[in-house]
Amino acid sequence: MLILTRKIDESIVISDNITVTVLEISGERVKIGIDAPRNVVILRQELQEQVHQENIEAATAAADLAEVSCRLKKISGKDC
Amino acid sequence: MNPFPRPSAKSDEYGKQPMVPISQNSFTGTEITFINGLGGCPDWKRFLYRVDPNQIPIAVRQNLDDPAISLSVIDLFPVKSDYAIDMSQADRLLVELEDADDDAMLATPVIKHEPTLVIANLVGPIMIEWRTSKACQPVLDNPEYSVRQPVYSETAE
Repeated sequence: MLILTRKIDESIVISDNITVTVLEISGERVKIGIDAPRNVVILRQELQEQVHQENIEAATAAADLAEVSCRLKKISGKDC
Repeated sequence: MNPFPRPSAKSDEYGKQPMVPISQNSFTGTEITFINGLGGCPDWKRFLYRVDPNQIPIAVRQNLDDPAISLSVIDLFPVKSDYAIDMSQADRLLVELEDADDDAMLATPVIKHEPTLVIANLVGPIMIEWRTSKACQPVLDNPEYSVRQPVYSETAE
């Protein structure tokens, strides 16, 4: 991992078209600004990890789909 | 053209129609490709999307490379009717999305039995462009959306 030290209002540049700037430091929180093309996906890492975990759980969960289907139909006011 | 037209959330018939897109070839299935795989699972790319008439409103995505991987999906609008997906330009380019009416928005629910509970992941919806059979799973950074949105539980009935 590349480690750089930056102060408030200082930036780093990635691949000529992405700029990450330290905007504010308050206690343990750091506010950063990112300038990047619209086709670059930027995510908070914990969100990506949550979706990953849910995908794993969804793929491994054993369920009686016919029974669940019946319950969902009842929610929408249909007969099962 | 979308082979799985879904009911409009604004329709008077909303809630009375099947929650999962259906067509004549639903049971045999349609192959869809997640260009970058699913979130955190980059190798999960090729799936067979199919609807068993006995399991409506649930559809199934069966991984074509690993038979052990199968995920069930539901149309998410009955879960959260004001659900809005702000897809990034990157995701739109990924699935070659052209017409907003031509896509389908699905949630991937985690289904548990004890206690009986169905949870939908609203943070990572499934987006399918039926015209190209390409799909992606954008990650939505919206504090109103949960990865474990209750759809059904014993206490909620």
